[in-house]
Amino acid sequence: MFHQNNSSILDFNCQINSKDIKQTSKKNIESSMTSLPEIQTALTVKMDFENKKIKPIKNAATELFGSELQSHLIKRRQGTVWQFTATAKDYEKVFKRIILGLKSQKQVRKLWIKLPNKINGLHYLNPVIKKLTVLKYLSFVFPTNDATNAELCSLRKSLQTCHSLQHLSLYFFSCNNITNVGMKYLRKGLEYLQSLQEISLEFYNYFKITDAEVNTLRQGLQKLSSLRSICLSFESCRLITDAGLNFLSQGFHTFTSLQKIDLTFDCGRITDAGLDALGQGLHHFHSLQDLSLRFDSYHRYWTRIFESRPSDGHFFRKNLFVI
Amino acid sequence: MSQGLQTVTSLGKISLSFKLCPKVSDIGLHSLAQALGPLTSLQDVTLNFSSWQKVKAAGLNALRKGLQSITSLKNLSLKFDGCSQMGDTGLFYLKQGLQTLLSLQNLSLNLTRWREITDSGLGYLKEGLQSLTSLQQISLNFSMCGKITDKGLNHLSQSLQKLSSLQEISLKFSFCEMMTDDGLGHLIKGLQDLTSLQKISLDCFSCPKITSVGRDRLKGELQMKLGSSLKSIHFSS
Repeated sequence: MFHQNNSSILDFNCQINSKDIKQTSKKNIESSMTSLPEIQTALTVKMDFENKKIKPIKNAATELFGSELQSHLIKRRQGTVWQFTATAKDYEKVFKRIILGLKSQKQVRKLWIKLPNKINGLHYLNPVIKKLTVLKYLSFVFPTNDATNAELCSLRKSLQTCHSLQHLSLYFFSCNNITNVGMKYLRKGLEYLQSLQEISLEFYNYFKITDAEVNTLRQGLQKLSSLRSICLSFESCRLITDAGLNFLSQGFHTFTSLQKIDLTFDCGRITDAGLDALGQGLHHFHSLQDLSLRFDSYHRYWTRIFESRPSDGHFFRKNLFVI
Repeated sequence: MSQGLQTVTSLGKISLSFKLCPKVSDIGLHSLAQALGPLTSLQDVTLNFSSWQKVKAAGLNALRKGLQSITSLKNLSLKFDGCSQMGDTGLFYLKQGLQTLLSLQNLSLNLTRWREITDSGLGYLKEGLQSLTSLQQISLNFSMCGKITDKGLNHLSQSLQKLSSLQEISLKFSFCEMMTDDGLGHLIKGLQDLTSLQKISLDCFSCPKITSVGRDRLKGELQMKLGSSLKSIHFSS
């Protein structure tokens, strides 16, 4: 929202989808389908120059992808928004080229990246983010299963220079290699972001996350006194208990200017006591306008469907995240 | 949770979802309902208790009491699908609740698998709906409510007839096997004078007594009577 008022915005969206897109959550599929409708197995770059001097579309594409990838590009322009879609099998090579292009785009204000598996994206991205000193919006979807403590360490280094960042969105899918050590890197990274107004941290199918990791995250969030919006999602993270909710609630007193809060938990181990603990923290929010709390048990939901419709089990498994 | 919630009086929008929560009890709904009462700035409420077998009509009564002081409410979405213990009594409490929410512009009720509700229950709902004259969008899901007949659809049509501001309507009756083409005839009467209506969506999947004749008649007559204001009419069966 904040960037819409800035007349000199340069948005840059980059996505690499792989064939395993069905493994991502429905929410992310929806967002990717909205912005990148045409090709699922492709890399897409979207730029909005707004009032910036408009470059010829071919030159901009060459600057980003290099001339060697021109033959793979599909170009489209809608108003001031330019979208480039590259079809290529060698994602890592293409990603490296994108990163190279980004180095010459220091005025990028908004950056959105989704990576397929087997690409250690932050390893490449870290030196680039350091150059993007006016970056205000960063959204990063970690590759399925591949995120590690080392990557969160890289992220921490990247965030160290993002003093202007106002929005951070991180999405982790089945990142069961991350331990509390990694969470502590993330906590440290968050502490650098003193201008942050909106944060979204989503963990999906992170079976190993416990109350201890939730507590570590809370400690990082607590340092961000400018926050206006928090989204924390622990969907299908089944080890979190009432204690995790209690830890979160303890941090609420620092967020007096919070306007929006969106929390998602798997309710398998959460009882009335956990809800009460969370509720006790809510009275700190004097400016809160939008509250969303989800305690759904998706595991039980899908299990019930499989059990009730055994003949359709294959269909539901195949289309689990598309329904 | 409720004690903390009721102090956040600045809230304009709230969305709570407790789908299939095994360890949260029915008491939660009662205390939640009490907490909503003081939140008089609320304009948008979404509550999801899908497949919550423990919810009974008494819980809905408590919720109704909590919502009745929020007279500024514009958007209300209640998802109680699969709460199979609800019956006509549940619809009676819904009626009482709706009669106090006169500012509502957008209403969505998901009552899927309320298997015990009958035409009498829809009679109650009629009384609740017809007081919502500001309503612009309505979505009602009665899928798998197998006891509903054409008479129930007639009740519903009579209430829709009074909602002259309606722009969008979505009705779902999948697996309501007792409904016939005559029921669609009632629906035509209910909708044909709603000149603001732009979008109609009707789902009669697996309703064996509804034929292509009834479907074509509904489409044809509504298109003719509502004319160019009607932008979309979707019928799935």
